[in-house]
Amino acid sequence: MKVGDLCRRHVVSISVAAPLSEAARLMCEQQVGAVIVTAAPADSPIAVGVLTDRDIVRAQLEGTADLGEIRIADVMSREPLVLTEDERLDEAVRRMRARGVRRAPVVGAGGALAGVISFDDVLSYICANLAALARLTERQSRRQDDQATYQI
Amino acid sequence: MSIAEISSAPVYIAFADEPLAAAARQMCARGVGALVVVDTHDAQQRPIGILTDRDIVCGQVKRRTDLYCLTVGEVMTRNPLTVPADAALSEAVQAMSARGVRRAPVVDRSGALLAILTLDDLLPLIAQQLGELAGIADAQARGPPAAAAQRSA
Repeated sequence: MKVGDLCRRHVVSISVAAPLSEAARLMCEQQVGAVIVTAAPADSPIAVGVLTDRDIVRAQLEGTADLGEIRIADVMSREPLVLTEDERLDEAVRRMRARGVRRAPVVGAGGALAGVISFDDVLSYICANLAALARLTERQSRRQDDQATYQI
Repeated sequence: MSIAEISSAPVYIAFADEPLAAAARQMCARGVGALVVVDTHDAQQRPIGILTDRDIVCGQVKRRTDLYCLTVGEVMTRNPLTVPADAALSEAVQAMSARGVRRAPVVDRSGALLAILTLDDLLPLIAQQLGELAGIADAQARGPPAAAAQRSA
């Protein structure tokens, strides 16, 4: 499984030039706890940071509470872990763990932002595999029960 | 294993009438993503809400004001799912899944707050159970030690 097979193509992102108030509004509208921060070029933006709801709250406590007065660039996590579409999923998880992040932007061959992958996406994938295994063992134990009934 | 053993300890609380900024500061200082909200006058500390970073941000956006002008009670998520301390693990997981919540306060029979149970607490436990199952399969694939000894004899 490659990162590109599992990542989400709908990326909730915001320009690094936008005010923090806009990022806050976007997070609430889209019901996400983090957004990918991008920089130009507009037609193939690159990921320059990740901004979480916690980054916003911390910035407000450390400086002004006025979200319109805070720059995203000053509070986001810079130099985010960036994964590539053709990277193996297990390798990607290992890198996410090493960096201690729950989500990472995904880029295509040219380096342009192509998606985002999260802890939740990987968990769902693993659980779906497990559920398929569980269905298999259930089917086999039912078959054994049926055979036992015939023998009687 | 009981819910009380699995759940994160300690649990941190906020009061509904407390300034939002004070609660936010507590969350940052303790490095936690959520506080359980209780009523100031309730000695039993029965959960009446949960406050997360998201609630703090979205509460400010919705009410068009900042965290110094709001109380915890104004932005918290009300009526939290609570999990009885003596509930089975599967019951807790199913209840959290049905409500779509990643964390739930754990309460005693009178509804008093004991702890908080999070998805992050549950995952290692389930992973451990899986690891043990995988160990059985692996051991059987290698064959029982006695049989292996007989074969080599």
